[in-house]
Amino acid sequence: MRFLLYVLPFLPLFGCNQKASDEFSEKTSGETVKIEYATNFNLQKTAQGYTLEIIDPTTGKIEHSYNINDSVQYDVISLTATMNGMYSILASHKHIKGISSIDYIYDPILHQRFKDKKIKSFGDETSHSIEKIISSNANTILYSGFGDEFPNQAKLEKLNFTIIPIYDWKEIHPLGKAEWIKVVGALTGKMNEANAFFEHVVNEYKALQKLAKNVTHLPTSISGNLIGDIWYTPASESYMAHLIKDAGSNYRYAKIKGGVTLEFSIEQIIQDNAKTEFWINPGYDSKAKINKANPHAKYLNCYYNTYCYSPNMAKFWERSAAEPHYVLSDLIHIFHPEITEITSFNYYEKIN
Amino acid sequence: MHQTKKHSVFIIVLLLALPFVAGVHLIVGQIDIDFSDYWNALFNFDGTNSYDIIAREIRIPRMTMAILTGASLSIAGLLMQTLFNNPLAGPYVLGINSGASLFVAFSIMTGIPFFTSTLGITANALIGAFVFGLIILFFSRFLRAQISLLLVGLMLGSFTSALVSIAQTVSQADELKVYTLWALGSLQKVEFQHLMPILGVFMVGIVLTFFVAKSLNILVIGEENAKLLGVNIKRARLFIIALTALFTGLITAFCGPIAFVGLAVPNLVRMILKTQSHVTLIISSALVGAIFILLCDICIQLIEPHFLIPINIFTSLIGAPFVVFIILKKLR
Repeated sequence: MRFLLYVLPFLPLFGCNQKASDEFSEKTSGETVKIEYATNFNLQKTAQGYTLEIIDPTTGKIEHSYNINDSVQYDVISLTATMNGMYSILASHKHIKGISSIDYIYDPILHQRFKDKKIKSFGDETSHSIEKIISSNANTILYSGFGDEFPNQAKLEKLNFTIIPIYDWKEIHPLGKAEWIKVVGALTGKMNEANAFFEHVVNEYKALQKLAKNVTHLPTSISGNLIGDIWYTPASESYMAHLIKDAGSNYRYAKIKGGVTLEFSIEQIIQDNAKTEFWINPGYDSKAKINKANPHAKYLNCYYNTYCYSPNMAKFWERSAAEPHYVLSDLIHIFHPEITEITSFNYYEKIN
Repeated sequence: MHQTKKHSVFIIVLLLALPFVAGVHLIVGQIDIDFSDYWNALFNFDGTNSYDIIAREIRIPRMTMAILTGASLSIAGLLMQTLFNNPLAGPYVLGINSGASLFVAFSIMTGIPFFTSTLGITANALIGAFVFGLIILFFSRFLRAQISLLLVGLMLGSFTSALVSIAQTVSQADELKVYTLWALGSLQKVEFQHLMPILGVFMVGIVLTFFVAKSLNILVIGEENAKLLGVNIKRARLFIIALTALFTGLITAFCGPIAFVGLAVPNLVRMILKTQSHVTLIISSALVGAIFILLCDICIQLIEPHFLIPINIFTSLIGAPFVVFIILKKLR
């Protein structure tokens, strides 16, 4: 349903695209599918379907290569929230046979299918049951790739399971993360819809970026929170830092390079952020919870001025990767309420 | 007489060293905080001044909790070692920490707000530590070899870990997060305003410990002989277990499980002083424990610009080899 909302305004265009795309496919069989922003995968059109190459984010070398055949139905155990969101956007719920836990699912259709026992939960990557996987109706596993290999990968591959690590979480550019919908497009036979959706996202993102470029004041901001004694915050070259910058905010740690995450002591955070105006993504949806996890938070100026925002977790993790324009819109609305073109939030909410 | 003088000198040196090390602890850190900041933090606090905030809300509570943690766990270890007549006993290895952790885990995962409050977590840690103390006490009646009791403690630890893991798989994300953060342990979670009540409970524990010092001195010669000398063994055991639970539960509730201090420090003190006088051992263990944790935390803060290590990891890094050393010494 939501997919239709996105696509309906573009139906005339979509029709043309479909035809153009088919012609393009025939002509460019064996050529690389255009990947504009993502750096951790390649797609090539072949006579039978696609060749998907997963690139190791650390080395930049091809880690795995898969032949995706149009005649095969890829039913997946999807252990990554972002992929679930992308399947939902492409209205391909029926291909999801397994998830990690229903507690982390936002999409109501997936909830219903879980209730109807069409989807099973398999636990996380480290605690699944191999026999449960084998006895499922799935033939493909999508996982986050935190470790080198999926547990029991060799055994499962002998049983003809296709196991694909999803490195969207290592993409630096928000649109790079969103572009992984093309992988789902290849697996579900909905590449045209995936392309159309992604094109729409790119256009919306660029329009919002332009809107935020005209602001005169760049308010300061921080992100993250304490875990144990360490405050984890996105590095300057991370996905979130990219969004914050595009939303017209002066991210406090924008100049510190290296890695995906930066680590600070609470002393450093208090010292650096005495006058910081906004705090986003504290990891909790109420001040009571923030106080419990981090009793020193109330000494941050941004806490007192109630500029803390926190995403609706399940919805955010499931949909935000594919919809970075909605995240950007929210961040612009947070940092620049004076911009009247944006009037409401998609994911974020003010914490009380 | 010579021994007593040696003990007095040792305690005086420790009493002088403690404020010195505590002072160093206060000035070590990534942010330069000077004496005037501490003065302002205590007597002229400005909630918008980051130096005042760091001094009052982070450095002072962290230093105080380091002292209380070291002293409490060392006294708890000393009590257990004397009670079970076992130099390898301690709140961590005998599963007293595990009991506190288990009760805290279950209480948090019920999702009932009271149980996730500071008071709820503290109460559950104390009850858990006491219950597991009683369990260990029960098993100790049937075990003769010193190593057997440690194995029971180890099994209790494994058993509680398994129960906590099961609880984690069925708990909600929010509760899981609260428990995980609590289990990470930290000396700096305590707020300035909570220091006085914690200090109050600690002082009550110290005073009560001195009351059992005489019984502890007699317990060293064995329970049968202690009975002949008029010690009410049953009552003494329960009292010692309750005190151990108080010290362990208090620290576990606020700082998470911290390993090896309770085992290593009393052994170190006994090796230096070679005495069975528990008044001396209690004072010395408390002071050495406090200085030990302060030094560990100073090291952590010195390497903090490069990488951050939780306190319980650091104490394990130092404490575990020392415990191996004690075992090897005993085997010889």
